[in-house]
Amino acid sequence: MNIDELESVFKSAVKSRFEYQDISLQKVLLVDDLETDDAGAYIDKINAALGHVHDNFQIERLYFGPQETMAQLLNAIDNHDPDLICTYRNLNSSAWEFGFSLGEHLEVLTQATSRPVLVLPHPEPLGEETLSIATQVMVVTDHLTGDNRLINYALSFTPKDGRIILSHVEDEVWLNRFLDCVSKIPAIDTDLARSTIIQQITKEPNDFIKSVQESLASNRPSTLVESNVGIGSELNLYADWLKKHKIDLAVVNTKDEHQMAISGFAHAFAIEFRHIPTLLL
Amino acid sequence: MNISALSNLFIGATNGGHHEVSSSVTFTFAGILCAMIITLALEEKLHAKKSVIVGVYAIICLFAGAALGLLPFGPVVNVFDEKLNLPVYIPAVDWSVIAIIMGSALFVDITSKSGLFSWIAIKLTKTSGGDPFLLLIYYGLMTVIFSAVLNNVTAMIIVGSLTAVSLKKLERSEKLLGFLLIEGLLTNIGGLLTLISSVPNIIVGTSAGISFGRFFVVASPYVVVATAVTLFMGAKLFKIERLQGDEERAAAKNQVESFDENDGIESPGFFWFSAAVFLLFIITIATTSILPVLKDLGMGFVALAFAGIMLIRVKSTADKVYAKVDWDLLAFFVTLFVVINVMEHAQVLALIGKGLEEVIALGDLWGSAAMLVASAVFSSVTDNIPLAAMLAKILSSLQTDATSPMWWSVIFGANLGGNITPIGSASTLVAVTIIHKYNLPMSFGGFVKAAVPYAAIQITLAVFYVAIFLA
Repeated sequence: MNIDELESVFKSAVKSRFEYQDISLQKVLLVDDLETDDAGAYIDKINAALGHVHDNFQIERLYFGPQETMAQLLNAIDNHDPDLICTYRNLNSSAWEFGFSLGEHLEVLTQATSRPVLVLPHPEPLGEETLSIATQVMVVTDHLTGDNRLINYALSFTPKDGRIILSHVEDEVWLNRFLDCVSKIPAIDTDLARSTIIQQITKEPNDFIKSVQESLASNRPSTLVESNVGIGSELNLYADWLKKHKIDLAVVNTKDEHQMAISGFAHAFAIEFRHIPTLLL
Repeated sequence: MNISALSNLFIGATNGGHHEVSSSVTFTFAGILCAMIITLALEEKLHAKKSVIVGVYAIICLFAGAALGLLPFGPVVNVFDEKLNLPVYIPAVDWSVIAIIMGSALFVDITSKSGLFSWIAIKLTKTSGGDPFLLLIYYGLMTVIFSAVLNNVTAMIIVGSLTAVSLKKLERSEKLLGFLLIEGLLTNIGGLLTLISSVPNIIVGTSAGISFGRFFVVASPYVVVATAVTLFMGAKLFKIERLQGDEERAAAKNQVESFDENDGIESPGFFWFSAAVFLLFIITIATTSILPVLKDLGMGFVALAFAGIMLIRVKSTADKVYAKVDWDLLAFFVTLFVVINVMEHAQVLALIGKGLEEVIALGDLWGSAAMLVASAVFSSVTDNIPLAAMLAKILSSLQTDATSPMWWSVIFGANLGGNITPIGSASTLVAVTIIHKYNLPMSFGGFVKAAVPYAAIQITLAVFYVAIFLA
């Protein structure tokens, strides 16, 4: 028994605890490039979908056509000061039929604003399926522990009797590279390191999910909380999980403190799963 | 017949059968002893482990002792008149002490894997509600109790690690230095509580024939008073105060609530098994001197037997447990006993004993006070274990009565001397290691400056305690 061992024991015992916070929406801003009639129908759909989980909110519309600039859009959003921006993939872009990007405007918008952006499938190809009432909501991240904001937002879009799936994926490629490096260090027992690192790396999100379950047992007793923690290829695992759980809405963080652009994983996720409405935070 | 008894028999036989040793030989070996003590004091500077330092001196002593005809080669005779051919350095070692240290270390290490000690430590942290003053009191008491029932070093590692993590969590890292210093000092107070709390206690206590129960009864009043005084001084000098206001208390409580005491418990069954066996271990050790059969086998057997019971629980990974035994410490003790045995044959201990006779001649009151202070000062600059081993041997050879306050002077002095300098005891060295790990400023001189007021009061209290109640 040495200092480092004991320190590890006590550090492991310090656990992030989920703090539930009720998030309410007062003002929702739809940013679109639709004709007026289509926009009206779209607003009705948003009203129906959000009305299932939020009361007393109002929807405003902001048209963003080919003539407007990004600066004008950001300025207008600031003036509206919404709690939620609602828009769709490839806003104001003719490239919507190519599933290779979110569109330049949306990518800039998600990074330039601190407001949550609910990104829907582009309205043109999918028609009626663009937005429905969400009952199965999935939190998508590679760092779940301590992220109260992400979970609270996901909960605010989950009906009281709905199901929230808290997921956490550790990238297998990165982990294997790290363990391969460990295997070349004679001072470290490779098998022990492999088993304990894998155990610890999944233990932390699982512990945090337990604290979410404990908290919601008193705050939202009828909401079902499920756990999906895994190690693998992120996009492959999420493809399986989204299908398996019939997810209606995914909630993802987009900000990465190390880069200006939208977080690499959020970007890939939002493009890959274009048919899933995604709340970008 | 156990090894300890065999060893004593051997020592008894040789005491009466020393060769005539010239004073030049005695002084030469005394010089070697001084050199070893100085080298041990420079352990950190030399980047050498204790076992290596003392091992080298043991080789020199054995070789020189054999070359000069000082060593009693030949068979050892046991109580059944059986002649045993043992290498001369084997009976030189007090194997009962080695057995206690090794058995206890194995037992404590395996028990700690159950999460028992971290559970207790975290429970106390949560009970404090994150209040720094209450944390100091609880951690202080925990340090004393863990030092008493485990050992000083293990106690310091457990409490020191928890202190660093919890104060960081409470965003009160500026108090870490004060906490660690006080805990380091309290390990040596707690180390006085029982016969197995520290190595000097084991060595001196077993030499004097003090039972576990008597040791506890004699030492505990002092430990209670010294702990209270140390905590009071620590809180005042480091300005560790209670939280003010409900909001501050609620925030601190919320932060310590994030500790999960069950996190380190891999198996509830192992946890409760360990708790039960640990309790049984304490009770058995405390009553070994009166239990039939066990009183003959001794505390070393008890410690090894309990370690054996716990090893069954981790039988598939026992090799990993063995790897964690502090072999440096054990090798240090073994080689130290060898050096002291050669010194005995070279009449060095008799020479020191003559000096001690003059101290003893001062009478129980002044003699015990002088012995205590001298032991403390000596322990502060070098390892207290050689001192304890040497003085125990000398007091034994002077046929000092088991009720003499001299034994207690050595015990109190050897333990409390560790509180004067960071090299005075292994546990204060651990405290300084944690202090440096967290990049807190604490030089050798800085430690002495901060610790001396505490040590002075603790030693003064001990002198009065021994002089008034034990003399």
